Order: sequence, then structure tokens, then C-alpha cells
Amino acid sequence: MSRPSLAPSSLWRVALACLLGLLARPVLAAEVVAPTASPAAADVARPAAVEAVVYAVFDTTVGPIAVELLPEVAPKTVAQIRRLIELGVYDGVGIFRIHRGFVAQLHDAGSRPMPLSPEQLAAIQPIPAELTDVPHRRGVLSMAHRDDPDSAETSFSFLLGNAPHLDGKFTIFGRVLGSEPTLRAIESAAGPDPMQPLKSISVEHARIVDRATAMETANTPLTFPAGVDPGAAGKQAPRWTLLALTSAVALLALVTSLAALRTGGRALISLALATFLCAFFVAFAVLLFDLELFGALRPWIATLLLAVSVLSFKVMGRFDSPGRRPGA
Amino acid sequence: MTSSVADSGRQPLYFVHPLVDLLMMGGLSIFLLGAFVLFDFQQAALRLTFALSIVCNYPHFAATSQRLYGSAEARAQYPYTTYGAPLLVLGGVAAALLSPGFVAPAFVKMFLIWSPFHFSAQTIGLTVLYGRRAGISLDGWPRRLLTLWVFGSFIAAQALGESVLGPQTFYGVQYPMLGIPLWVGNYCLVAMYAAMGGFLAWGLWWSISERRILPWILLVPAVAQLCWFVLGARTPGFRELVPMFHSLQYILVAFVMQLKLRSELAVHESGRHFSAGREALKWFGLAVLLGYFLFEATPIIFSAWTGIEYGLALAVFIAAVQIHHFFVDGVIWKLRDPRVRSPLLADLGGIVRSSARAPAIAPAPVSAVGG
Repeated sequence: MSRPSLAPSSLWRVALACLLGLLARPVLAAEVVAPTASPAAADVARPAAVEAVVYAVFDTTVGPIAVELLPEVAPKTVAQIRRLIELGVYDGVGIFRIHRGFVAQLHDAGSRPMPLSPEQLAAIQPIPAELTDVPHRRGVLSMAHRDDPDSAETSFSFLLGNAPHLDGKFTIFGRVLGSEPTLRAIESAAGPDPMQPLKSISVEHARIVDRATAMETANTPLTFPAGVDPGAAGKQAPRWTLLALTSAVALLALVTSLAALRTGGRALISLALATFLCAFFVAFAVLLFDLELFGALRPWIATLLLAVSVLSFKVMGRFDSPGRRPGA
Repeated sequence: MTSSVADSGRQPLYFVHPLVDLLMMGGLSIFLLGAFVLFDFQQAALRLTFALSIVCNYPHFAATSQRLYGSAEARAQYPYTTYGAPLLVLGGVAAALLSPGFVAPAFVKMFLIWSPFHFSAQTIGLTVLYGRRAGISLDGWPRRLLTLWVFGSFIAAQALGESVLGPQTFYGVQYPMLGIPLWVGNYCLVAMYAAMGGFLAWGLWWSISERRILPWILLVPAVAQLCWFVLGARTPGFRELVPMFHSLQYILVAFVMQLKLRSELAVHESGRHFSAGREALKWFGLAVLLGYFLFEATPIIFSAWTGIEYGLALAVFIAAVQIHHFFVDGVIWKLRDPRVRSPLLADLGGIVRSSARAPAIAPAPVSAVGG
């Protein structure tokens, strides 16, 4: 491979990165002042042709959720999800992640207890991303994907709160119609660990329905008074006490190890660094799972967490160091 | 502060041979990235990954354990690492297995963040090592630029990778993503390319002022890492091979060090004959077996024994072995320690030649004496 063929691309990457970086800053700033007053449903662009909307009901173990799928927002995704629902792919799929005020996420269909039939398996295909400016608000249906935005298949989330940091990154393809009792029942199953819901909830059966059935199932409209963030009501606070305690221990241990590096004492350096790593790990785990609870500060906390994690690795190299004795 | 000639003695520049060093230090990955861009090798690469893991990736982890735990001198030199590192890691394993929804994802996440850092530290170490072999001391600004270039590629890739929010799966463990703003990764990328430009400019300046061309091997590890984390990060099939490329670098260096130490030991222990070939086979064979045991057999045995889900056990053990490897490597490979630096300045040819020249003073077999 010739190096010159890569060099121009690198230059373009630099230019593009500068541009993207500059463009991204106002977007981030906008997250901080994102309005929360408007009802979630109003933010989802209404399709011009009502006939194009597809209605579906997810009968879960805690009640039905009526949804409308919006082909005008995400035509390929809606077509594919509709086909998967018709084939019964979602029957038996569990909700593996419940994050109060954030998301309830369905597992990949491949994880459901009963195996997928060959026809169902064949129908599951990667869905290309259809990113729009529709905001992630409570009640929205948003496709999950892996690193590659075009890798969405079956897993998607019901948004339980506003999540502006997801905007433009995940395909929105529908919204919940009413079904508030069911959403609240799902949300009440959230435990301290979002990945470990307190109650096992799954989709018993998913079906495509007509508008009347969907509206009947929806029973109560999903509306919130102006000025109220629907996600805020059930929001938890980060585990401040645990965070403060572990951070203090980590900091104290780090300072001790740095002091010991100057004065010598291999045992003290190693003990202090081991304590630092243990305390830091607990703080890291807590922050990792509580990130969503920091609201607008979330991206900054996440960046700080990555930076400190990287620095903590650097610290490990000082383990078992004899230190520098005075006068040495 | 600029570079200066560091060592008075002339060291061999390459561990084995220019071509072998080029390929193993990252040249192979650079060439392969080109091939991956031009041809569709994805399926072939994925099929090869397991086999390559057995003979390349796993042994490189095992080599660390061999080096620390297999030598009484190393155990005495790093007592707290010898006994403390396994305790810390085993504590993490126990906590992760007892708390699969909270500790295990954090344990896996920590390993995934530290892993590319470890790659970067090795890249810098190799560049500095080749610098020493070439008589060039990379201090001051060149070192800072090199560090920013190498770590910049890792941090940029990490930040860009962490810009998504959906949970990811590592075998049986689902872990959350950080959701870092995209601009963080992009700015890191800019800083990384600026540092790369600065380092290359320094190389040019050095070549002009010293009236000799900067040895190309100094650039190979860092350029290879650029391919791993940035240029080839989205190339299907290629990124799965990146741990193999890193392992190749490690195996070559650890192999030469092992041979050098063993040959010196043989010289000191009069009466022992040293065979480089036999030593190499023994070392590599043991590394393959130990690697296979750590990564493949342990999770299976543990899962069958305790009833813990295999996917969870596999993810936790893989993370544990690697965290242990990062931990121990950070302690035992310090070039400023002459006990580490000295054997790393050896070359394979020199070791083999010196072992061949060494007098065969092993006592003759009894039968030969009798005959």
C-alpha cells in the first residue's frame, strides 16, 4: 500500500474534524437550554398523509402499549419493523434495560426464549440509519444500534424522558399513543442498576392494528402540562454519598502514593495505589450507571470519566516502584 | 531540548533482521490495511481470528506471566506486583461474577478503555527502544510530540467510539457507552495529526542536522498504530486483527529478552549448555499452552464447576487476564531500569552466535565416558 494514497485523506480528515468540532459546539450548548415545556408528542413531526401511519400494539406482561409508526420520518425502518411485527419476531422479547426518566429498551429478538423460525431469522436485516431532526422526547420509539449507525436490527427503546443527547444519532421511527399506565408500570420496575430491572417484563405479543384499535388501547392520552418535564417526575438522583466517599478515598490514596513516591517506601506506594484503584473503580462503576442522571452535564461528566480512567492507567505503572528517597 | 546520541556503544538496530522487524513491529498491519482497502478480506480475516488468537494473541498474555512468575529474580524484584496484582484482579473477578449487572459491566468497560492505552504505551516504548538501539535519545520535545501523536490516536479513537449511547455487548456482558460529544474526538484527532506533523518535522530536522537519515524503523510502530486506531478503525475485518498486530510486537521483544536472559544464565551456570532453538520452542510452547488455558479452558471449567453462565464467565475472565497483563506490563517493562534495558538491546543473531561460540562444558554423558 502506498503511503501517499492515505496522506491526502488524512488532511481531509483534519479539515473535516475541525469543521465538525466547531459545528458540534453550538449543538452541545443547545442541549443545555433544550426546552422541556412542549409535550413530547408535539415534537414528533406529524406525517402529512394520515393513511401512511402504521399502528401497532405491544402487549407486554404489564399491559399494552399502543404505538404509531411514522413512515414519513423513517420509511425503511417502519417498513422493516412492520414486517418483523407481522412475522411475530417481537413475541417473547424482553425489556432488558429500564432507566427511569430515560429509556426502556427491548432486547435483540435473538435473545427471546423461543427460537426464531428460519423465516423470522431471514427477515432480520440491518436497517440503515434514518437520522432526522425529530427530538428524542418521552414516548418516542428509537432504534438501537452498535458502533455502526447502519447496524440497527430489532432492538429499540421507548423513551421515558427527554434525551437531547441522542438526537441525530439514533433513528426515531414512531411514538407511543397514550398507554401511560403501562409506561409507568415499566418505569416502576427500574432498579438501581438499569440493566437489572426489578421485574422481568417482556412483550407477549406484538400486532399491527387499525387506528381505532390503537386509539382504544391507548385509553389515556400522553399529554403533560406545559412547563413540566415528564421525565423529571420519576428521575433519580446520582448516588452522591457513594460517589463522594469513593472519590475522597481515591484522592487521599493518590496523594499518599505521590508523597510516598518522593519519600520512598515501596510497600506504602503499592498499598496506596491499590487503594486508589479499588476506590476509583467503585466511583467509575457508579458514574457509568448514573451518567443519565446528570442531565445537561452528562456529556461533560462522561468526558471527564474517560479522561480520569485513562490517567488511572498511568498510575498503575508506579505500582511496586521503590520511589525516590531523599537525597537519592 | 532535542535528541542526542545516547549510548556510546554501537547497538544492533534490529532485533532480528530489517524485514522481520518491519513486519512484526507494525509493517504487516500497514500493508494489510492497504490490502483490506483494495480487496474484501473480511470473511477470511474473521475465520483466521481464532487461530491467530491461539498462536499469537493468547501467548503474548501468557508471556507476561511467564516473565514475572517464572523467574525467582523477577519475583524478588517486584514482590508487590507478584502477589498484589493477582489478588487485586481476583477480587475484581469475584465482584464481577457476584454482581453481573453492575460490577461486571464496569470491569469490562475498564478493560476496554485501558486496552488501547496499553497498546499506545507499547508503541512509545518500542519507538524509544529503537531510538536507543540507533543511538538516538528521544527526550524533550520529540518525546512529547511522539507521546501526543501516539496517545492522541488512541484517545481520539476512544472518544469517537464512545460517542454512541446504545449498550454494547462483550460476550455475556452488556455495558453502557459513555456518550461523549463528537467534537471531543474530533479535536483529539486534530491534536494528534498536529503532533504527528511536528514529530515528522523534527525527524526531518534531525536528519539534516545529523547528516544521516532518521532510521525508518522509528516511525513504524507509531504509523502502525495510526492505521489500527484511526485509518483502519472502520475497516471491517482489519480491526479484529489489531490485537494480533500488537501481540506480534510483544512476542518478538519478549522472545529476544527471554533468550538473552537465558543465554546469560547459561553462561553463569557453568556446566549448562544453551540451545537457542530449544529454548525458543520451550518458551513459545509454554506460552501457547498457558494462553489457551487462561482464555479458553478457564472460563469453560469455571462455568461448568460453578454453574455461572458461560458468556459471563468468558467476558469476566478475558477482562481479568488482560487487566492483569496491563498491570504487570506497566511495572516490569521499564526502559529506565538497566536490568530491563540491557537485554532489550540484544539481537537474535548475536544471542545465537554467542551461544554457538560458548564452549560446550556440559559434562559428557556417562555412556560416552564409559565408551
